[in-house]
Amino acid sequence: MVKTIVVGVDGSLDSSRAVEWAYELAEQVGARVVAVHAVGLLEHEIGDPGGDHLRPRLSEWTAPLDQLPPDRVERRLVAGDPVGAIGAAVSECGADLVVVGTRGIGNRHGERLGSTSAHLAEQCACALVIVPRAG
Amino acid sequence: MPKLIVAGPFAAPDHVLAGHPERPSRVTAAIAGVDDLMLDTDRIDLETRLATFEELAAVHDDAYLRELEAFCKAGGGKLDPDTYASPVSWDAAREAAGAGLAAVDALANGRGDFAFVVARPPGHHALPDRAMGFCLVNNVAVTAAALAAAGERVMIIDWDVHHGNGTQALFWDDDRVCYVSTHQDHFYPGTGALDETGGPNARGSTVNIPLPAGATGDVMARALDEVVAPVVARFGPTWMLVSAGYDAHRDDPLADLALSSGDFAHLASIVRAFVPSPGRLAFFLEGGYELDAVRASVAATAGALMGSDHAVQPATNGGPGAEAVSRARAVHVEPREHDLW
Ligand SMILES: [Zn+2]
Repeated sequence: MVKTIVVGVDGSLDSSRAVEWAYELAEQVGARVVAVHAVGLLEHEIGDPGGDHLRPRLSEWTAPLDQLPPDRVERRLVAGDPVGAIGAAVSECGADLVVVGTRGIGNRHGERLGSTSAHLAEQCACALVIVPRAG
Repeated sequence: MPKLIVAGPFAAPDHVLAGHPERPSRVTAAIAGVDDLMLDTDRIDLETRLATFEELAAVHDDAYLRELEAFCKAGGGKLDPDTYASPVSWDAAREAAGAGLAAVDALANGRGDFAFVVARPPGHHALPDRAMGFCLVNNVAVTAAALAAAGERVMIIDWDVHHGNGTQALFWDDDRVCYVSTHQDHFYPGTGALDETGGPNARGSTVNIPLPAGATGDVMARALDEVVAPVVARFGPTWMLVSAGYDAHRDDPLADLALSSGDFAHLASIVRAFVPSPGRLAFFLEGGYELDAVRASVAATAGALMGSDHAVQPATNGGPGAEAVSRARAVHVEPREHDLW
């Protein structure tokens, strides 16, 4: 039923929980995982135009996925905001499920439900899992 | 002598986040660039107003606007990884959008020849239903929508280094507004490809000209001359609005185009020649994060409009991008040369 999972990644603790959750499900059902990091406007300040400096970091943030066969893992850097980047990945990969952390990947410093999660809940074309923070 | 209407400065000193490059001193730098021209009585500092909820709702969803207002009043925070709001940001956004509306009113009433809206937060990434890329409310779009509702044909030229995905989305299928953007290719926010040319009711009214990193002022000028000029002739705008970001400057820390401040004088003079009748040209500050570059580039832009040569840095040339301009011409101009609009 679940063949392709898109997981939103930003290096936060919330997003690492989402990666763990996506890995465990993928392991059980034999799904493919596409990890997506949205390369924001601010990230250019610390790096190069192609965002290549972010590749090693994306691998680090998604290390649990290395336990899956390599042909079932894809890591993507996409210019833009998380909502747009995840939405595009869902349609391009024909994903069945999106997994994000509680504060989404958009509201690391915010105090309410992350705007990414909230927007995805409204707009996502497939099922959405928001992995809780505690426990 | 022509007269320049200045709407602002609105630096929004309390719309601020420590260490964030979209900061109040950007507006201080931009207005210093206008001051440098010493225009005296040829400068009209405008009384402006806050945009109303209804004026913003012409381009944004009601629910988003209510959520944004409530979010700000509850103390603010991060709206996406790049974008923040503080308790005053709702009013700052209404002030910036209202400044644009007041500027075109003043132009329509014959009070000046050109207007420059010197305000923040910027607007061109703001989407109908969400904030994005430092932008809360799409200032240029609010003004364009008001003009279009009054029966005008509006062209928006966006020379910010980033693609104005918000503005494009807002007028995607609206043939009363033509959106033209030069921007760095394969870069934030990921939109603005050559083949994004408008919805079924407005084919050809979105014109994207992506340019490679390192592109210089001569390439931007060619894009305006060879791609945008024919589009202007075809579309027949009655108003021209410019999303004037200055992050395509070579010193800007957020991007990789290679323009000098002097290049903006040249670009402004090309755009001035596109304007259908006097007093129908307004500039809106968008991005630009290196303060000296912003100051000098605003002075160069406004100086070129006013006919005073204020460009201190020489124009640049020799960067890559000639092929990108040819490709854009092949998509946006050549197939349509014999079409009626
Ligand atoms: Zn920009």
